[in-house]
Amino acid sequence: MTCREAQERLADLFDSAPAGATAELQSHLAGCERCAAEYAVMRATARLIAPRLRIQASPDFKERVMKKLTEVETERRRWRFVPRLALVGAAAIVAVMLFVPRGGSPALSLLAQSAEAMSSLQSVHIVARMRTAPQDNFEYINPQMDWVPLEVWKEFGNPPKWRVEKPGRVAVMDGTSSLMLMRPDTAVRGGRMPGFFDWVYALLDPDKILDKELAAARAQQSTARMVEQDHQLVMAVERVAQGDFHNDWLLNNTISSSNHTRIYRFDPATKRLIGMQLILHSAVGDVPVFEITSIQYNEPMPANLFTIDLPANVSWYLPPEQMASSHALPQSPKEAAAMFFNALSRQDADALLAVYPGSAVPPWAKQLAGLQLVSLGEPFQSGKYGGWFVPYEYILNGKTKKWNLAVRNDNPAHRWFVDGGY
Amino acid sequence: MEKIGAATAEPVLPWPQSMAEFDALIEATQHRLIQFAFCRLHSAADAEDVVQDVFVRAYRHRERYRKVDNAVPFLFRMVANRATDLLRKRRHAAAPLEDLAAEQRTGDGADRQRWIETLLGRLPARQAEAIRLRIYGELSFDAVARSVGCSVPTVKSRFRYGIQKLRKLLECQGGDR
Repeated sequence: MTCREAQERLADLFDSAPAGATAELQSHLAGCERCAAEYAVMRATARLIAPRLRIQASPDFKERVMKKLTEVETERRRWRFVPRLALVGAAAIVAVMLFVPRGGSPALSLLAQSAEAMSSLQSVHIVARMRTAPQDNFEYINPQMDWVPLEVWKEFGNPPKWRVEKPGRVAVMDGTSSLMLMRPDTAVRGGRMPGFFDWVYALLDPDKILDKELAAARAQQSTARMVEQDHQLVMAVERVAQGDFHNDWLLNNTISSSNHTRIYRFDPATKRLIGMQLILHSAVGDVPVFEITSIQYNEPMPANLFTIDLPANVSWYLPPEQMASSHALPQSPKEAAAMFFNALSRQDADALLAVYPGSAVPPWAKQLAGLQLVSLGEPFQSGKYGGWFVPYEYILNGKTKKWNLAVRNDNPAHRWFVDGGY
Repeated sequence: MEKIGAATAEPVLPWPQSMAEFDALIEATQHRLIQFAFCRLHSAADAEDVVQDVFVRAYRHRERYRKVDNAVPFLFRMVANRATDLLRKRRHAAAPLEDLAAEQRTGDGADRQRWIETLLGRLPARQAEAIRLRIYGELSFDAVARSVGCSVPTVKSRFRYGIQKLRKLLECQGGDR
């Protein structure tokens, strides 16, 4: 290597990811005082200008970006932004609303107009946020948690296609079947109306929201009120938690098992839904747990939006009738719970897959190796959940965990399996 | 080998097409981008404003950049452009320089950074750009090349000439700080 070649390649020594070998260059520097001196000068200069002050983003930076995005999108589309209704504000709105009578109401008139306005929709794209856990199911809410982004795309047609996504989960319907990926590597197949989520179906059919809500109000499941406010049509629906809450374990843990108010906003000109907010009425007060930040209608949607690229190492969540049956099967909620924890403790794959509906032992199972089951309580039911909850206590690495394991057998094969809570 | 900045793996992230990807992109790059912007602007608040603006633009124009396999170099370029715009506005602003300096002060680090930027401002723009992306942004030369839209050898050449000129400027000033 000549000195000229070496000098031309000196920058290679400053790369964080050198493309080629630098051994020859370094060998040259070791034997050439002039080039070595040149490199030393460059190095000293680069060090001199390297920042000494490290700046980090503020803790709320991401949240501010999301808020700004919402504001910009809203301005661009000339929508009225759905106000983040403070609870005091929401209460005030409800107070001035008119109760919807059974016939001839403004609501019924709006229903007809809205259904007509939305019958010609080609697609809808909803950007929303929800107080939930990123990895948990689409129904789960927790007023103590931070907002998690949630997005819904729907292409109307025959058959319709959709995609629902939050950081830890994505579900798609490609027209014939549905698929959900629980990130990073667990997937489950479903039909046209899979049980991945319940209440999100309402968002997938914005043209039917009014119809469904008014039907629920007539069936005494809720109270609907409507008012015109700030040149928008606002409908507030008071929903009562559905199910039996003698044990209130599930109360206010999911949308359908919570006492809440849904506030819908419609554009009076187009009669289209332009916003929604859901306010949970919990023991700690009224907390917004879901809100739509933007809705885009008739946005072109690429075909690959309704597919998911699964990771190569994907493991499948199986329907109960396809679960392994080489092991003796549990006959009760408590037996299912005992088998589950004992299998984890012993890392017994056969026993685990007899109660956990996976095609393979899930990666998280290793973390529970050696757990000591202290006790199992009496199973109980809560809300409209079709399974049972088994109270448990175990010790792992010196730490005690007490929680309720969800198990169910409300499937055609009456097979007991673990559904969550571990 | 001269390692500049943190020896962390450079993230490769596609242009976000969903809120989840957008969230992940912010999580992975926010600190580096704000650090990069701060080196130009000497104000943490302005740096956050610029990076916020870039993130919002990136998501709004996601359809246009759907095929970009690594958004990171482009984000740095966007931040560099927005920082340049802001500096241009500052120069035209009527506020007295003393007031501006007081507002932007972030201790000695900001003062030192201001001095370095004055030096870089005397270099040819493309050489200064390569140096900033490599040293402030801690991008590999490959990523710098993607960011500015030229070949890796060209970027390395600009970096080398820029560093050498910077050294001469320092010698004229009578040494290091």
